[in-house]
Amino acid sequence: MDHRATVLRKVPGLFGIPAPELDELARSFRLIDVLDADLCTEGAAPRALFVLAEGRCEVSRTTPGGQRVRVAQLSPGCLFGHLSLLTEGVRTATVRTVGPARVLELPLDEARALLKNGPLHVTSALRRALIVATARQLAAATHTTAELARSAGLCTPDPARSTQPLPAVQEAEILLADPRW
Amino acid sequence: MSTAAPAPPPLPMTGLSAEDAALLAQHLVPRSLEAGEVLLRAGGAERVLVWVQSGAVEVRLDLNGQRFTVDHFGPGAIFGELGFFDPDHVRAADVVATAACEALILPFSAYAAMVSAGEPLVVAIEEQVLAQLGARMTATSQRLGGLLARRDQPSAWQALRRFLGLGA
Repeated sequence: MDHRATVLRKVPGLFGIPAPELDELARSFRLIDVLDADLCTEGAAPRALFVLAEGRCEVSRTTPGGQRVRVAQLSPGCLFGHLSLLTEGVRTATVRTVGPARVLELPLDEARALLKNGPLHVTSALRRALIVATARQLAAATHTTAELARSAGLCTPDPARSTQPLPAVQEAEILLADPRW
Repeated sequence: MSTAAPAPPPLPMTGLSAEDAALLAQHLVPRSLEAGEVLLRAGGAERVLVWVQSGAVEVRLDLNGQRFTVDHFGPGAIFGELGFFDPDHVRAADVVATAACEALILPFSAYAAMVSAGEPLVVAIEEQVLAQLGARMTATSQRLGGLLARRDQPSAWQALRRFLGLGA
């Protein structure tokens, strides 16, 4: 089996895809070796989505106060850089490989073309992978939001355990995730 | 006198072909909830996708004994996607009706059968889920950004301690 297909089989959401279709999807990706490289750069225009094949990546972002904070670590099988397929705008975090790493890369315009024109079994699998990656990221960001709200004292303990609404939206920023993202 | 069958609930998606609409209607399971009734429970692993038809639900997350409302869904909203598409996922939050609510539920087995049969309806379902996820991600990120900005601002107490040379 193509090594790229072996990597894709580890991506959550790509269940049940027959081998020929998985191989076809895999051929859309380019396997690249990198060393301490920024694959996504906060503030830059997005150009591709990625799957980490080997090695690890760190996700960091700059807080409004200018502090650079690490918000997540990615492990093999993680799909990332895909939010640009769902939302407009620039990269919201920097993703950097730590040491040597291998990644699968799919340019966003090719991903869009594949989703629009590809065979159903292939595009459905890719959409499932995008849904799971996004939903995990959303769950992690939601959890972090609740933790931040609590640590900021915006939600006070309630012995009756009645529901505490989270604070209202304040300004546009994006992204945070947990290590399994 | 014949008794007419109850009218099927309106479909949660528009723009479907007649065949897709009929296929979707065949697999959706309607559910009525009273205010306060739990639709999905934390710790559960049932694989269902839920559309809200009427009424409202909220998502409640427990964190170390504190309960937070982290999202609200009204008519047209779709949720349950992580448990639906990710077989390893265990639900982290309760979804509770906050008003009388009508929901439509798609079991995963029905979706999987449609994928196997190559039904184009799965594309419409997946695209609707992705579109709503993108909107929710943006809203959550905005809220998160606001909280991070707030965390960066020193409190008056910290500022006073720094002014007095006592450290933050």
